[in-house]
Amino acid sequence: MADFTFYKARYHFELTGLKARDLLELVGVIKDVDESVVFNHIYHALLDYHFLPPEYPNDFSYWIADVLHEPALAERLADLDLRELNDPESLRKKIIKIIEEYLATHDVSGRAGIGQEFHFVRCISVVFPTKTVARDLTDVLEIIKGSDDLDSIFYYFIASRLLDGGHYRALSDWVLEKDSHELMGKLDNLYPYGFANLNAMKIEIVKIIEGYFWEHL
Amino acid sequence: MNEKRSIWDYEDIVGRSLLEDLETLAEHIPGTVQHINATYSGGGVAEILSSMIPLFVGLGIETEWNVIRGDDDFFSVTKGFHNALHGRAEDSIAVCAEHTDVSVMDDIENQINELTTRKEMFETFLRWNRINAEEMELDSDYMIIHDPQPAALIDVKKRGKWVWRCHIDVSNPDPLVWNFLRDPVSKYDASVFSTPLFTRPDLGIRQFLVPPSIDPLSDKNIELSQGEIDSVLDKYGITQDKPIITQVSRFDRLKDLPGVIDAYKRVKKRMDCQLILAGGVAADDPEGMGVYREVMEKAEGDEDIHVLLGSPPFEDIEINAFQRASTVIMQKSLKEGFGLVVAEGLWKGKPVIGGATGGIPLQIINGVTGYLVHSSAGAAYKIANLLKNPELARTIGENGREHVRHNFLITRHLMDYLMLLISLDDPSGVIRL
Repeated sequence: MADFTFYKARYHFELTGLKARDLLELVGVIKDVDESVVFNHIYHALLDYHFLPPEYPNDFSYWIADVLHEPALAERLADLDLRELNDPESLRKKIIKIIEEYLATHDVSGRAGIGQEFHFVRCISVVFPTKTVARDLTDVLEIIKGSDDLDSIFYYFIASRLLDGGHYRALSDWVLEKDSHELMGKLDNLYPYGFANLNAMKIEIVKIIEGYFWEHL
Repeated sequence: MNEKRSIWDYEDIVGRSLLEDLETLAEHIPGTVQHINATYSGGGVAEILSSMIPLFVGLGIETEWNVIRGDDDFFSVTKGFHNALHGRAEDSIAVCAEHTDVSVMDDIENQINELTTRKEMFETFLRWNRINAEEMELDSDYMIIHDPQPAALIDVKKRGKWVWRCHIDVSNPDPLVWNFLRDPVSKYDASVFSTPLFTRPDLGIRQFLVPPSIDPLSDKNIELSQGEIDSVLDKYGITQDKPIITQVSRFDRLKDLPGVIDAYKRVKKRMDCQLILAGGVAADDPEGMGVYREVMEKAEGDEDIHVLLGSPPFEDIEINAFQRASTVIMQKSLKEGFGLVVAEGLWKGKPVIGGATGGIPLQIINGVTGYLVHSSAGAAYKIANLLKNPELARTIGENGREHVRHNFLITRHLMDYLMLLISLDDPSGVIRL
């Protein structure tokens, strides 16, 4: 089994100059923007909130509730099943569908005041190899357990999986070389919004791998 | 000004992972970097660069920090630009109102005079930018130009990538000044703003988002012993036998110091406490001393209100001690830039109550790291709640410190700069090193 080098990403943010003041404008821009914009507004809060789960897990929900005062729509957008929406286009389509259905059935007149607009921001991922190398699954477990580096967790289990899949697939292939389909299946099924924060997600990953070892090794 | 500092000095504060990543990314910066601004000392930009440049150098990136020079006229013009760009719409309205009773001819004459003055301002600005461009070596691979004062240096660009780092809010500028400045700024390869709220839709170049930061190892933020705190408070005759509410800010109307005193007085009726208002008067603000006198008047007769005018300015250690001695920190601004003093308070583990303006809501997550308020009554209610519930104050303070640790420290800022430089050559959303 070849050694496995861990990668990670750091993120920074570019303004698109696009903004929305109401739901129609919001959905109109979502239809056109780059996938890294949709990714940013759905996921970046997971990186930001290290200590407490935010009231809503993504920027769209938060703005719709806080500024447009449409909590029912905010809740629908907070409940996206991200296990099924595993590519940016399906995620975008789902968001558009939820908002358009809501617009069709509700009399919505909320409009943001000056300074309260929704600003569309693009997330740029800078991906690079770390110095961490695993020889086998036991190493993987120890590395994840011992690391304070939640960015790698975010990168493998959220960013890489959704944005291009390359490094997540590499991890998956490497695990599958050990014929660990069951383990990979459980990892594939992780649902990022279900956790209070990234550390809770890390603890769950450790639990899954330890559970696998307990049953199979 | 090109001292060197190791990023590993920050290991106990931010952990290994970020520092290792900084070293990895620094290896991918292929050239030299030069920062240019208007001053080596005084103000937030100089404060950030004083911490940032030694870290760039410590990472092995050849980095220079230079400042432009100018005469009094030039700096008076750039101060005027600053005010005109920094959302002074209310001043424009006041000026317009003054013109309502004059005749059409007088009005036209006033407008011509105004335009002539503006033309002279623009010529002064461009002349000093040309003088500086001739005198400086502007040939680094990455040129980072801070704020409007040196913005026209871009006119002599021969090579490299040029970034305009705008620290002020230009979202609601005086149109004439902005139209003048937009011409040089739109020649840059990219611009950087502190929050989306501060940007312009008409720049035509890439706009990146990089919030400012505080340095946890600077005198303003470093840990202090109780002895050091006591000695500063003794110097100013402040006892620590009752809770301290503090606002550190210039004596400026937009900081709503009377509103802070009103909030304190409401709380004081319910429980014993004291108030520190510490700040200076900006040399270029003719209203500052007037505000100070009004605050003194409003505080008169209450020995528990300590109005401290820093003249000469307070030492950073003293500001640090005031904040660390506080039970609750206020920043009840009516209008604010980024308001990094909020991050300073949060970093000291204190609950901060602030006005919902400028960059303050990015730092105060309402009910989590502090409270956003819209009135003196609202501020009083939150202060009293925190004073009555030390456990709540402690939890909110701890949350605030963690929020700053992850988002507003100089090491995160450095990481953002490295990623910015790497991104200038690559417009894609995923950059693989």
